[in-house]
Amino acid sequence: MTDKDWEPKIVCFACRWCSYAGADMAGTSRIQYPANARVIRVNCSGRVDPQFILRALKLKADGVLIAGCHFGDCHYISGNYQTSRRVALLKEYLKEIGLEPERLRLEWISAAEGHKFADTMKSFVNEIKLLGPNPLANGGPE
Amino acid sequence: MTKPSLAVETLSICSGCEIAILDLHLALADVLDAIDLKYIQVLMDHREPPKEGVTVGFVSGGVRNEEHLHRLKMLRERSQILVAFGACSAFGGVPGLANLHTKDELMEEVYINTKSTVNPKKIIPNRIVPPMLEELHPVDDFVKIDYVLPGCPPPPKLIAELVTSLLEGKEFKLEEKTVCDQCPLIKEEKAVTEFKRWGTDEVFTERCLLEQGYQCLGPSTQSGCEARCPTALSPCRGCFGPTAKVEDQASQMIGAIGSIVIQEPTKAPDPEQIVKEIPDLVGTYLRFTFAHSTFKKAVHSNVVKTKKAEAKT
Repeated sequence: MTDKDWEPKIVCFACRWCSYAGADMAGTSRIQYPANARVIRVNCSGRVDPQFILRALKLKADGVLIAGCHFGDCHYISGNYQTSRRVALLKEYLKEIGLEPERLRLEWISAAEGHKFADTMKSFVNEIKLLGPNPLANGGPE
Repeated sequence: MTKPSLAVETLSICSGCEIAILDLHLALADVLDAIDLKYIQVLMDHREPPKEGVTVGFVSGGVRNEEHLHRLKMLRERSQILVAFGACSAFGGVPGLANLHTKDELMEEVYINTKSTVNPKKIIPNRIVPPMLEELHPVDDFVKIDYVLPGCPPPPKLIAELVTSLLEGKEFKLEEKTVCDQCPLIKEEKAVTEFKRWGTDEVFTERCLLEQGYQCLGPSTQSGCEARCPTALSPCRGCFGPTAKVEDQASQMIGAIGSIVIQEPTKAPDPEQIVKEIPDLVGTYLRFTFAHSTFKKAVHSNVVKTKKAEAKT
């Protein structure tokens, strides 16, 4: 596979109440955005166990995007606050083991923000393209 | 009927686990009555486990060089039941943290860079000594393990339990619970506002250490030790490894840290603040299990490497 053909694979965990609906909104409004993400619906961004993220990166996903409700909007009151702490710690963990923390991203997208969902996808895909494939793919870097 | 025989192999380890066997004290007399001890380096002068084989083999320590690998495979061939004995053989242990660096980095640091080393010709030993593997492996990377007895070292009570159940032909299994389940300290409310390093502040007795803001690995660690450390008011360091269904102890702890902070957003510390308050995540959360965690070793991505190099210049 040449670099030109390479398209990043992105795992996106979207909260059921806001971001998944936001992705729907982007779809129904016919907004164009890159099709690199595999969206997984979860009940809350707080449901995303840090193990899910590590496993995704270990299985050679090029990026992981977690999308949840804005602060104060969480259906379960504090789920997104908990996620924000976990993601901050996970980024530090990734940095310590030598993986780019930029491969993990957390965004707050409400059900009305179809545009924001599309923009996030675009910018995240561009960022991952600059970083290149997951170093664990093809047996890691030389 | 001949007595069942036991061989204990020592790989990359401090020998503390072998001493733990001697720590059985009076129970040791009963064990020695029932078991024929064929090979244990801290007690006997043998070079290898007997050729005719043993009933049970204990292997302690991880696999760091080719000699370890050879001896591990030999023990597996010669024993009917193989037990990973201690945190190092089960998860890599503290030596597993060396997997944060490459083999060349380690050699350079130890034989050239350390201040107490005088090595003007910059010679790295490569003859006579067995060649080092690229990284440290827990034993289950190479051979099938029948039982795991974690701990640093395994508590004598569990060793006795394991030996008895093996003698009686019963299954030995640790209860699927965490250290917190066995911990006598009082858990009141999860409302941490600040994380502290051990030894920097007052410790309140009888109160959960994690709720006081100290890094106690109780929620992510397999039980079996009867919460020895927290009972003595010292945070759990996680030597029993993760519980059966968890792959990575750090992920479990990061999950726990996210939810024990005070609920009210105005009083909760910023995520960036929390990251600053908990330095060295890998060394804290994966102290004994880095070689057995999700990633097992550092990734050494080129991007991060160049960034590090830029930061140095």
